Amino acid sequence: MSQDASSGLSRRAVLRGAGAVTTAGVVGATGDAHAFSLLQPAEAPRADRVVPSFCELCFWNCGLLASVKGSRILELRGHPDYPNAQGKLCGRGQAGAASIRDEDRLTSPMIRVGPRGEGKFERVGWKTAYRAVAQGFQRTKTQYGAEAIALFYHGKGGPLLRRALVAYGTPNFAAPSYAQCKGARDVAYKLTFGEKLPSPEPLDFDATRCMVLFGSHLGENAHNSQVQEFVRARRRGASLIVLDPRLSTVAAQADVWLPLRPGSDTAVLLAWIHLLLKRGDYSQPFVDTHCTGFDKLAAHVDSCTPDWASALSDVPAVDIVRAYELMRNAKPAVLVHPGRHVSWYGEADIQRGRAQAILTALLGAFWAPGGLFRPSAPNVRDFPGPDFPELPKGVDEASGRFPFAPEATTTGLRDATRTGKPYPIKAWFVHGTNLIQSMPNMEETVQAISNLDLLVVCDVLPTEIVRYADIVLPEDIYLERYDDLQLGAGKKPYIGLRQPVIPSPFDTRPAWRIAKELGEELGVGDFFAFDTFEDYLTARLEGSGVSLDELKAKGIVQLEAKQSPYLGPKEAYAWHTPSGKVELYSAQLASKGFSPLPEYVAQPRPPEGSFRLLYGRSPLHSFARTQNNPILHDIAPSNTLWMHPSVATPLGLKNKDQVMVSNGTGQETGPMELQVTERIASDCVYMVHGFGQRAPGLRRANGKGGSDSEILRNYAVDPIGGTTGMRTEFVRVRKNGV
Amino acid sequence: MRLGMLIELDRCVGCLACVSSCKERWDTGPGAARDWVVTFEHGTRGKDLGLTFYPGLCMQCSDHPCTTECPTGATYRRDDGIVVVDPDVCIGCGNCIPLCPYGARRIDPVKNIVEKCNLCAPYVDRGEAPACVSTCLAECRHFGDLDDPTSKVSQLVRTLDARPLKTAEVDVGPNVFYAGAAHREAIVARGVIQSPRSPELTRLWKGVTRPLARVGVPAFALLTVLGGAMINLRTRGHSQSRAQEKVETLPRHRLGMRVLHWFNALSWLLLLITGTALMATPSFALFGQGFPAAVSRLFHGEGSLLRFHVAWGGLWALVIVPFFLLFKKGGLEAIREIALTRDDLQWLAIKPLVAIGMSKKPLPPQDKYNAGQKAFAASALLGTTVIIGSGVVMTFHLGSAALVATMILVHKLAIALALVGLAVHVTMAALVTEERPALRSMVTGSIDRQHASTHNAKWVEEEESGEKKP
Repeated sequence: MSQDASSGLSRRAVLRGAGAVTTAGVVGATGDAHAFSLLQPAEAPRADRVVPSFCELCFWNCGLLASVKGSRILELRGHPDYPNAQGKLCGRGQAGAASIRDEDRLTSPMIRVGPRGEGKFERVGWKTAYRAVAQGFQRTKTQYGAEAIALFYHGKGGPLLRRALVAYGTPNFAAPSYAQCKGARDVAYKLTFGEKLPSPEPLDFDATRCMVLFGSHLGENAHNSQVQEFVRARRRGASLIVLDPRLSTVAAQADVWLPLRPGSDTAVLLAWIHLLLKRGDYSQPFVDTHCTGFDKLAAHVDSCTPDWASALSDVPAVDIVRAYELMRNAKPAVLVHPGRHVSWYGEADIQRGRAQAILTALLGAFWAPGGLFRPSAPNVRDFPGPDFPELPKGVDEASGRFPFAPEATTTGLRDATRTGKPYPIKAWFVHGTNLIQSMPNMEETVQAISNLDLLVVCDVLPTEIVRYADIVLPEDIYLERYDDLQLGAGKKPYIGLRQPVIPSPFDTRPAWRIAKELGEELGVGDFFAFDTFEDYLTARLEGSGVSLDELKAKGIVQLEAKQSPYLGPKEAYAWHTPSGKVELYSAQLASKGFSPLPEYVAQPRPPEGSFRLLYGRSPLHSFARTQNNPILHDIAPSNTLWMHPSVATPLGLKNKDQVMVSNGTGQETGPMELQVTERIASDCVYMVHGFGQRAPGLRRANGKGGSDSEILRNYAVDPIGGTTGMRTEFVRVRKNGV
Repeated sequence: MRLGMLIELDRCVGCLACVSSCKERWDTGPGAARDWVVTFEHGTRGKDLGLTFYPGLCMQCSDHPCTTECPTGATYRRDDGIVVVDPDVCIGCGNCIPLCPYGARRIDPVKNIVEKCNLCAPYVDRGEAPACVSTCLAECRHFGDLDDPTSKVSQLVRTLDARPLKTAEVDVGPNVFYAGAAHREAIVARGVIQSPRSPELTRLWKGVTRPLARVGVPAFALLTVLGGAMINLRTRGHSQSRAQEKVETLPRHRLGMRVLHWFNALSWLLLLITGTALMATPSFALFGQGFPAAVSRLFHGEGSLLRFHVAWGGLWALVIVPFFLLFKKGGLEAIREIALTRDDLQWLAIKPLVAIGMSKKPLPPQDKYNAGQKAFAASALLGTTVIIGSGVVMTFHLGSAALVATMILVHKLAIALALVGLAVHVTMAALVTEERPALRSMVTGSIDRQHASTHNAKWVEEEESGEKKP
């Protein structure tokens, strides 16, 4: 990479410079060795201003208050008024300012000079970069049609880039947050209640008396407000049930931990539904008033006894019943967590999600205190512009796949790029997502990229996907830029603002500006009829009762909800399903040939000597985005492979051994450290996702630990919603070097 | 007042927000985080498998053994109970690290000083909470005054039956309390508490070097002074008669040299006083703590005392090192002037005996500087080089902590060596009447010709033949 790596404007670098000058080289040799505070910044400096904004170390979007002195951020704190921050930031958010001084940052637009994938670039100006993108897109559009251009995006900058590309004529845009994350639960809840769940999930921790978590990483996944609310609920005495083959943080605190066989959650759920119906413990008023398909459900679960579920899940029937009793005693204040990263086993994820939704309904816990509340979203208008052009069918729709997917899928776009079917995709614009790690089966991603005529990557760091790029557009860090409004759904709706806290020291630009300037280059400038982003935001805020000045000063404005967060006992409500009811039995699914009632789908056992690969979260890292952050890397530099002692010992493996993990079809990851632990089931291994990156430009993160994505070849595509199950790979483990 | 913390182990979810916020606030270098959360697993799957998080930090112990062997007094316990490291005074020797039973002190490889939790003292002073407390997602950390029974933290200590982490063997009065008995016991059972250990070099200092410095050097100096007094007794009549004669002089020391000499003398005096005063901690104090305390007061605190010592030391080095290197034809000429000849060796063997009247042998002729002066100059040259070198290492924290710690000892040994020479030098010049002309020459620049031809015959011969040549 030809960019100058030494130009990072770190506190330490500045100090180093000062040291070298002041002491005529004596200090220079030692970096920042200090000479009795002559060169040290004062301890505990005071801020000269506090700027509100919101975080992007992950996509929980916590409000923050940045204390700034000059052009240096002293501290990031949680915004007290943000419901998803509640005055605190997680470990990642605290370290946000370190991403500004990450000396590996992308600092100027670049165009590839060597062969694709080699990672050789030359710096160019923005005008040149835009022109190159526009020329490439124009060639693609002329030859294959605008639909041959695909946008992959993740984050707040995405919608404006989507505006530019949709205006240009493509229907093909997708985010891994759907197909590789929470898609299946959104589809399952939509099929059942007619409602997609917003993020953060509308979980009523404040009033809950029992929490049911499925493979949850709470604590390990520091979803800020949810962790705070979870701990408060426990402090208040709410009971806790956790289903997980792994002793997670929450499992260790649970009243009932069900260490079930991977993928058997639905069997346990069906047993609970069976008990609710058999014992008559379900919420009859909710079922009578709002649900349809009760009798069919009753017949369906008739044989799903705790003993039946116990045989399938390997957890004792008494524990299933014990957990059930905790729920029954707490109902309707039972919080059945719908999950977030639920792309585990493909179609089975929809079945599990449906069973969770049905359990919630039968407990009377939907839109009820202590269960899931009814969220309210703010009403803000779109930025005015011309009508979008008539769009051709997206790739999934054109190939007749995934009838219930509410949006295009990343894997669908990748398949079309690889195979040319249903039509070719020849250009990608990738914003803020490292597809090499965020999608299963790296080989297919690389294969798809090799079919491209143009790959444009817009990011902040030289991630793995950047290496394959033809054109690189460096974006401002979230603390340096405006983004589109944050429209928060919750008990109270709110509007939040991301605004520049300090200016970028490099030749980087915000996504909105890239969208606008590239849009103008593509001839769709009419869609971006604003001069400054303040104009854009002001136009959107018109009629909302909130002014941009107020938002800039406060960071967030909470609005009054127009509806109660709970469904009234007598409230008639037309659910947004075809029947207008909560569909315990889904005629929609039946009409497309899918199971209308949740089925338990058994997952195969790993072959002898192999293990099911499970993956999860570190509280200090988001996906593969944060591993190069100087602070986070220092605290959590790598991941380990968890393995049960009963299987490690026969393999001759010891704790802290360096191991390689392979999938039997040629892919291998590591070396990584082995962690021999009772916490994982003996037929599984586990690692934290996001490590093992192969990006030489990320000098801290490169090559540290192992990557589940690198060896995840056999993923399971759900035919209902198109999400990808990724707990489907069997792997072998060997000692490194043997 | 006794500021401390309470951590509810039952509530911790191991999210590490505390560690991250601390790193961001204090900018601690790689591997030098001031706090930690360790995960301990216990039991067996299917039976009693469980997890314990151990969120740890400096326990702000009432006994604070870590502060006892700090060579600069950088670490101490404040009146409010917070144990701090003054980053301006710490030289990063790492002596305190093995003295902490909890491993709460680490070397920052970037700043080259010791990092430890100070409960965010400067922020606490302005009414804020420590970063880890205000950031804790589980709200399991509580901060406050443990001496105040009405404080929230004291009340929680009582209601939650919180206790510090300690063992029967190791109890240094920690002021971080942990609630959750089972988790607390699990943590202690993991052997996280170690007996405080004194570092090797400190033991060496206390066992060998300090007695030497306290007794050896003063004893040698006393002997030298007594020797000087004896010489005066023996030569009393002689010098009185010499005083009557008319004195013919020879130029001996140029003005620059004389100024340098007295600047050097002043520097030694100031650096010795401030340096001795800096050895304030009980383990390092040479002559009790009254002297360091008095000098510290004079300088308005240890920080400015250290800064004065370092600044004057820097000035001293910046003056004498270039002067030495630029002197005549560089340092070589100086070294030639003080190189010992065969005559000098003989002189060294006879002189002490002659001086105190034990021998009447004639002394071999001497150069500009006699063999005694030469030997002293050599020891001063070596000593000064080592003193400046080790001082630079300590000031700029060059190299590893072990090197810095070694340099503390080396600095002192070099001073002791130089002091031995200095004792003779000062005695001869200031006390011995016979050598008065030499002392006077360092003020006026000229020396009594007769004195010189007795004591520096070769030099006088050289000077006079040199005078004739042009």
